[in-house]
Amino acid sequence: MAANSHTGTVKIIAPHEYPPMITGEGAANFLRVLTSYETAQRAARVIELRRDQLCEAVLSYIAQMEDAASASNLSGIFAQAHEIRGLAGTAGMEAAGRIADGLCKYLSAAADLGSVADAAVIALHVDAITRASSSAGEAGKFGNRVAVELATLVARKLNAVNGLKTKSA
Amino acid sequence: MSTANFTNLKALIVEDNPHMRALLRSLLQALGIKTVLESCDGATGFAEVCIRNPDLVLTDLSMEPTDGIALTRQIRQGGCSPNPFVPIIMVTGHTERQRVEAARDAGVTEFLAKPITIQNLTSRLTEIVERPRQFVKCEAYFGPERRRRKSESHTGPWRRGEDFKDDLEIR
Repeated sequence: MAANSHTGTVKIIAPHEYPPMITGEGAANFLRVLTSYETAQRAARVIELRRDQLCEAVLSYIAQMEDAASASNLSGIFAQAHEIRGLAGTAGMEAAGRIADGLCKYLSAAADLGSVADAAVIALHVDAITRASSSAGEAGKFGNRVAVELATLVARKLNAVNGLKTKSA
Repeated sequence: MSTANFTNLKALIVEDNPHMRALLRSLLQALGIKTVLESCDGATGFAEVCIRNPDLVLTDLSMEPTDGIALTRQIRQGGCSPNPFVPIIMVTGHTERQRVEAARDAGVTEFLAKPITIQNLTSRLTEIVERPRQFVKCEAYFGPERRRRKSESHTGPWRRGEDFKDDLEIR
Protein backbone atom coordinates (compact mmCIF):
# COMPACT_ATOMS: atom_id res chain seq x y z
CA MET A 1 0.00 0.00 0.00
CA ALA A 2 1.46 3.39 -0.93
CA ALA A 3 0.31 6.96 -0.52
CA ASN A 4 1.58 10.17 -2.00
CA SER A 5 1.92 12.99 0.47
CA HIS A 6 3.54 16.38 0.18
CA THR A 7 6.72 14.85 1.62
CA GLY A 8 7.04 12.10 -0.99
CA THR A 9 5.98 8.49 -1.30
CA VAL A 10 4.96 6.69 1.86
CA LYS A 11 4.72 2.92 1.82
CA ILE A 12 2.73 1.18 4.51
CA ILE A 13 3.66 -2.44 5.12
CA ALA A 14 0.97 -4.36 6.98
CA PRO A 15 1.96 -7.06 9.51
CA HIS A 16 0.83 -9.84 7.15
CA GLU A 17 3.23 -8.51 4.49
CA TYR A 18 6.41 -9.12 6.48
CA PRO A 19 7.74 -12.22 8.29
CA PRO A 20 6.26 -12.39 11.79
CA MET A 21 8.33 -13.22 14.85
CA ILE A 22 6.09 -16.18 15.60
CA THR A 23 2.90 -17.55 14.10
CA GLY A 24 -0.23 -19.61 14.76
CA GLU A 25 -0.13 -22.14 17.54
CA GLY A 26 3.40 -21.12 18.53
CA ALA A 27 2.22 -17.55 19.11
CA ALA A 28 -0.80 -18.73 21.10
CA ASN A 29 1.39 -20.98 23.27
CA PHE A 30 3.89 -18.18 23.81
CA LEU A 31 1.14 -15.78 24.89
CA ARG A 32 -0.19 -18.40 27.31
CA VAL A 33 3.28 -18.78 28.83
CA LEU A 34 3.84 -15.01 29.00
CA THR A 35 0.65 -14.46 30.96
CA SER A 36 0.79 -17.52 33.21
CA TYR A 37 1.20 -17.38 36.98
CA GLU A 38 3.91 -20.07 36.83
CA THR A 39 6.01 -17.95 34.47
CA ALA A 40 5.68 -14.93 36.74
CA GLN A 41 6.77 -17.05 39.70
CA ARG A 42 9.70 -18.55 37.79
CA ALA A 43 10.88 -15.13 36.62
CA ALA A 44 10.50 -13.65 40.10
CA ARG A 45 12.75 -16.45 41.39
CA VAL A 46 15.33 -15.58 38.72
CA ILE A 47 15.46 -11.99 39.96
CA GLU A 48 15.52 -13.12 43.60
CA LEU A 49 18.42 -15.51 42.94
CA ARG A 50 20.40 -12.76 41.25
CA ARG A 51 19.62 -10.07 43.82
CA ASP A 52 22.74 -10.58 46.00
CA GLN A 53 24.97 -10.52 42.95
CA LEU A 54 23.27 -7.36 41.67
CA CYS A 55 23.61 -5.69 45.09
CA GLU A 56 27.31 -6.52 45.13
CA ALA A 57 27.69 -5.04 41.65
CA VAL A 58 25.84 -1.84 42.63
CA LEU A 59 27.97 -1.44 45.76
CA SER A 60 31.11 -1.83 43.67
CA TYR A 61 29.86 0.85 41.22
CA ILE A 62 29.15 3.13 44.19
CA ALA A 63 32.70 2.65 45.50
CA GLN A 64 34.07 3.49 42.04
CA MET A 65 31.81 6.53 41.83
CA GLU A 66 33.10 7.76 45.21
CA ASP A 67 36.67 7.34 43.93
CA ALA A 68 35.81 9.29 40.79
CA ALA A 69 34.18 12.01 42.93
CA SER A 70 37.30 12.26 45.10
CA ALA A 71 39.35 12.75 41.94
CA SER A 72 36.79 15.25 40.52
CA ASN A 73 36.52 12.93 37.53
CA LEU A 74 33.18 13.95 36.01
CA SER A 75 33.07 11.35 33.25
CA GLY A 76 33.92 8.66 35.81
CA ILE A 77 31.12 9.86 38.09
CA PHE A 78 28.65 9.83 35.20
CA ALA A 79 29.73 6.36 34.01
CA GLN A 80 29.27 4.79 37.45
CA ALA A 81 26.01 6.66 38.18
CA HIS A 82 24.72 5.38 34.84
CA GLU A 83 25.48 1.77 35.84
CA ILE A 84 23.86 2.35 39.24
CA ARG A 85 20.64 3.77 37.79
CA GLY A 86 20.37 0.75 35.49
CA LEU A 87 20.85 -1.94 38.11
CA ALA A 88 19.92 -0.52 41.52
CA GLY A 89 16.16 -0.78 41.10
CA THR A 90 16.30 -4.47 40.17
CA ALA A 91 18.72 -5.04 43.08
CA GLY A 92 16.09 -3.66 45.46
CA MET A 93 17.80 -0.28 45.94
CA GLU A 94 15.14 1.86 44.27
CA ALA A 95 16.06 5.11 46.03
CA ALA A 96 19.74 4.79 45.10
CA GLY A 97 18.67 4.19 41.48
CA ARG A 98 16.42 7.24 41.43
CA ILE A 99 19.11 9.49 42.91
CA ALA A 100 21.70 8.14 40.44
CA ASP A 101 19.25 8.85 37.62
CA GLY A 102 18.88 12.42 38.92
CA LEU A 103 22.66 12.82 39.02
CA CYS A 104 23.02 11.57 35.42
CA LYS A 105 20.31 13.97 34.27
CA TYR A 106 21.98 16.86 36.09
CA LEU A 107 25.42 16.13 34.59
CA SER A 108 23.95 15.72 31.08
CA ALA A 109 21.89 18.91 31.34
CA ALA A 110 24.83 20.92 32.71
CA ALA A 111 27.00 19.68 29.83
CA ASP A 112 24.26 20.48 27.28
CA LEU A 113 23.98 24.02 28.69
CA GLY A 114 27.75 24.43 28.53
CA SER A 115 27.83 25.00 32.28
CA VAL A 116 30.26 23.58 34.85
CA ALA A 117 28.47 21.11 37.12
CA ASP A 118 28.28 22.32 40.71
CA ALA A 119 30.61 20.24 42.90
CA ALA A 120 28.28 20.62 45.91
CA VAL A 121 25.31 19.25 43.97
CA ILE A 122 27.41 16.27 42.84
CA ALA A 123 28.67 15.64 46.38
CA LEU A 124 25.10 15.72 47.75
CA HIS A 125 24.00 13.13 45.19
CA VAL A 126 27.01 10.85 45.73
CA ASP A 127 26.46 10.97 49.49
CA ALA A 128 22.73 10.34 49.14
CA ILE A 129 23.32 7.36 46.81
CA THR A 130 25.74 5.84 49.32
CA ARG A 131 23.28 6.31 52.19
CA ALA A 132 20.28 5.08 50.22
CA SER A 133 22.14 1.92 49.17
CA SER A 134 22.52 0.92 52.81
CA SER A 135 18.89 1.67 53.66
CA ALA A 136 15.79 -0.47 53.43
CA GLY A 137 12.17 -0.25 54.60
CA GLU A 138 11.42 3.08 56.29
CA ALA A 139 14.93 4.33 55.59
CA GLY A 140 14.39 3.45 51.93
CA LYS A 141 11.27 5.62 51.90
CA PHE A 142 13.42 8.40 53.34
CA GLY A 143 15.81 7.83 50.43
CA ASN A 144 12.95 8.36 47.99
CA ARG A 145 12.08 11.67 49.68
CA VAL A 146 15.74 12.69 49.37
CA ALA A 147 15.58 11.81 45.66
CA VAL A 148 12.60 14.15 45.20
CA GLU A 149 14.31 16.98 47.09
CA LEU A 150 17.53 16.57 45.12
CA ALA A 151 15.51 16.67 41.88
CA THR A 152 14.03 19.99 43.03
CA LEU A 153 17.51 21.32 43.80
CA VAL A 154 18.76 20.24 40.36
CA ALA A 155 15.78 21.87 38.63
CA ARG A 156 16.48 25.12 40.54
CA LYS A 157 20.18 25.01 39.62
CA LEU A 158 19.46 24.38 35.94
CA ASN A 159 16.83 27.14 35.87
CA ALA A 160 19.39 29.52 37.33
CA VAL A 161 21.94 28.56 34.64
CA ASN A 162 19.26 28.98 31.97
CA GLY A 163 18.29 32.36 33.40
CA LEU A 164 21.90 33.57 33.32
CA LYS A 165 22.27 32.40 29.71
CA THR A 166 19.06 34.19 28.68
CA LYS A 167 20.20 37.43 30.37
CA SER A 168 23.64 37.37 28.77
CA ALA A 169 22.08 36.63 25.34
CA MET B 1 12.23 -15.56 10.51
CA SER B 2 8.84 -17.01 11.29
CA THR B 3 8.83 -19.64 14.01
CA ALA B 4 6.00 -22.04 14.76
CA ASN B 5 7.27 -23.17 18.17
CA PHE B 6 8.17 -20.40 20.59
CA THR B 7 10.91 -22.41 22.29
CA ASN B 8 12.77 -22.24 18.96
CA LEU B 9 12.81 -18.45 19.07
CA LYS B 10 16.27 -16.89 18.97
CA ALA B 11 16.72 -13.73 21.01
CA LEU B 12 19.76 -11.47 20.90
CA ILE B 13 20.71 -9.31 23.89
CA VAL B 14 22.99 -6.36 23.16
CA GLU B 15 24.06 -4.84 26.47
CA ASP B 16 27.42 -3.68 27.79
CA ASN B 17 26.73 -4.35 31.46
CA PRO B 18 27.48 -8.03 32.17
CA HIS B 19 25.08 -8.16 35.15
CA MET B 20 22.18 -6.76 33.15
CA ARG B 21 23.02 -9.10 30.29
CA ALA B 22 22.98 -12.12 32.58
CA LEU B 23 19.71 -11.00 34.16
CA LEU B 24 18.00 -10.54 30.79
CA ARG B 25 19.29 -13.90 29.57
CA SER B 26 17.92 -15.68 32.65
CA LEU B 27 14.57 -13.90 32.33
CA LEU B 28 14.19 -14.81 28.64
CA GLN B 29 15.09 -18.41 29.44
CA ALA B 30 12.52 -18.38 32.25
CA LEU B 31 9.98 -17.38 29.59
CA GLY B 32 10.90 -20.48 27.58
CA ILE B 33 13.22 -18.93 24.97
CA LYS B 34 16.05 -21.44 24.81
CA THR B 35 18.45 -19.73 22.40
CA VAL B 36 19.69 -16.45 23.81
CA LEU B 37 22.62 -14.83 22.03
CA GLU B 38 24.67 -12.04 23.58
CA SER B 39 26.76 -9.08 22.44
CA CYS B 40 28.30 -6.25 24.39
CA ASP B 41 27.92 -3.36 21.93
CA GLY B 42 26.09 -2.30 18.80
CA ALA B 43 28.83 -3.21 16.31
CA THR B 44 29.27 -6.80 17.50
CA GLY B 45 25.50 -6.96 17.95
CA PHE B 46 24.92 -6.14 14.29
CA ALA B 47 27.50 -8.73 13.24
CA GLU B 48 25.58 -11.29 15.32
CA VAL B 49 22.30 -10.17 13.70
CA CYS B 50 23.81 -10.76 10.24
CA ILE B 51 25.18 -14.20 11.13
CA ARG B 52 22.42 -15.62 13.36
CA ASN B 53 19.32 -13.71 12.19
CA PRO B 54 17.56 -13.55 15.59
CA ASP B 55 13.75 -13.39 15.93
CA LEU B 56 13.95 -10.70 18.62
CA VAL B 57 16.55 -8.11 19.66
CA LEU B 58 16.83 -6.53 23.09
CA THR B 59 19.32 -3.70 23.13
CA ASP B 60 20.64 -1.19 25.60
CA LEU B 61 20.67 2.45 24.53
CA SER B 62 24.05 3.73 25.78
CA MET B 63 27.00 1.60 24.70
CA GLU B 64 30.49 2.28 23.41
CA PRO B 65 31.60 2.48 20.66
CA THR B 66 28.27 1.78 18.88
CA ASP B 67 25.06 2.53 20.77
CA GLY B 68 21.60 1.03 20.53
CA ILE B 69 20.29 3.79 18.26
CA ALA B 70 23.00 3.14 15.65
CA LEU B 71 22.37 -0.60 15.94
CA THR B 72 18.65 -0.08 15.35
CA ARG B 73 19.39 2.04 12.26
CA GLN B 74 21.71 -0.65 10.91
CA ILE B 75 19.13 -3.39 11.45
CA ARG B 76 16.33 -1.35 9.83
CA GLN B 77 18.27 0.22 6.99
CA GLY B 78 21.59 -1.64 6.64
CA GLY B 79 22.08 -3.23 3.25
CA CYS B 80 23.13 -6.59 4.70
CA SER B 81 20.47 -6.69 7.43
CA PRO B 82 18.82 -10.12 7.16
CA ASN B 83 15.45 -8.99 8.58
CA PRO B 84 14.73 -5.24 8.80
CA PHE B 85 11.34 -6.05 10.39
CA VAL B 86 12.74 -7.87 13.42
CA PRO B 87 11.18 -6.60 16.69
CA ILE B 88 13.63 -4.44 18.64
CA ILE B 89 13.09 -3.76 22.32
CA MET B 90 15.20 -0.93 23.67
CA VAL B 91 16.12 -1.47 27.31
CA THR B 92 16.97 1.86 28.83
CA GLY B 93 17.26 3.79 32.03
CA HIS B 94 17.22 7.00 30.02
CA THR B 95 14.13 8.98 30.63
CA GLU B 96 15.38 12.02 28.73
CA ARG B 97 12.77 12.74 26.08
CA GLN B 98 15.32 13.55 23.34
CA ARG B 99 17.10 10.20 23.65
CA VAL B 100 13.85 8.26 23.67
CA GLU B 101 12.61 10.17 20.61
CA ALA B 102 15.89 9.51 18.78
CA ALA B 103 15.53 5.78 19.51
CA ARG B 104 11.91 5.81 18.35
CA ASP B 105 12.92 7.63 15.16
CA ALA B 106 15.60 5.01 14.50
CA GLY B 107 12.86 2.37 14.38
CA VAL B 108 12.62 0.80 17.85
CA THR B 109 9.54 -1.39 18.31
CA GLU B 110 9.13 -1.19 22.10
CA PHE B 111 10.82 0.41 25.09
CA LEU B 112 11.58 -1.43 28.31
CA ALA B 113 12.47 0.90 31.15
CA LYS B 114 15.01 -0.01 33.80
CA PRO B 115 14.64 -1.20 36.49
CA ILE B 116 13.58 -4.35 34.67
CA THR B 117 10.48 -6.06 35.98
CA ILE B 118 9.01 -9.29 34.68
CA GLN B 119 5.64 -7.56 34.22
CA ASN B 120 7.19 -4.95 31.93
CA LEU B 121 9.15 -7.50 29.93
CA THR B 122 6.18 -9.83 29.40
CA SER B 123 3.89 -6.94 28.50
CA ARG B 124 6.30 -5.75 25.79
CA LEU B 125 6.61 -9.27 24.38
CA THR B 126 2.84 -9.74 24.51
CA GLU B 127 2.37 -6.49 22.61
CA ILE B 128 4.81 -7.63 19.91
CA VAL B 129 3.14 -11.03 19.46
CA GLU B 130 -0.48 -9.94 19.88
CA ARG B 131 -0.43 -6.63 18.05
CA PRO B 132 2.38 -6.54 15.48
CA ARG B 133 2.71 -3.00 14.12
CA GLN B 134 2.53 -1.97 10.52
CA PHE B 135 5.75 -0.59 9.10
CA VAL B 136 6.18 2.77 7.45
CA LYS B 137 8.69 3.38 4.70
CA CYS B 138 9.32 6.89 3.48
CA GLU B 139 12.28 9.05 2.61
CA ALA B 140 12.99 10.02 6.21
CA TYR B 141 11.96 6.90 8.11
CA PHE B 142 11.72 3.15 8.02
CA GLY B 143 10.33 1.32 11.01
CA PRO B 144 7.20 0.48 12.97
CA GLU B 145 4.44 3.05 12.82
CA ARG B 146 5.22 5.56 15.53
CA ARG B 147 1.76 6.94 16.25
CA ARG B 148 -0.10 4.26 18.16
CA ARG B 149 -3.32 6.08 18.92
CA LYS B 150 -5.52 8.44 17.00
CA SER B 151 -5.34 11.84 18.60
CA GLU B 152 -8.03 14.43 17.98
CA SER B 153 -5.53 17.19 18.71
CA HIS B 154 -2.99 15.96 16.12
CA THR B 155 -2.76 18.51 13.32
CA GLY B 156 -0.03 16.85 11.27
CA PRO B 157 2.33 15.97 9.79
CA TRP B 158 0.16 13.34 8.04
CA ARG B 159 2.04 10.21 7.09
CA ARG B 160 -0.25 7.26 7.84
CA GLY B 161 -1.89 5.33 5.04
CA GLU B 162 -5.29 6.22 6.47
CA ASP B 163 -4.33 9.90 6.33
CA PHE B 164 -4.37 9.64 2.55
CA LYS B 165 -7.66 7.83 2.09
CA ASP B 166 -8.61 10.03 -0.84
CA ASP B 167 -5.44 9.66 -2.88
CA LEU B 168 -4.49 6.18 -1.73
CA GLU B 169 -3.10 3.82 -4.27
CA ILE B 170 -3.45 0.14 -3.34
CA ARG B 171 -0.76 -2.13 -4.73
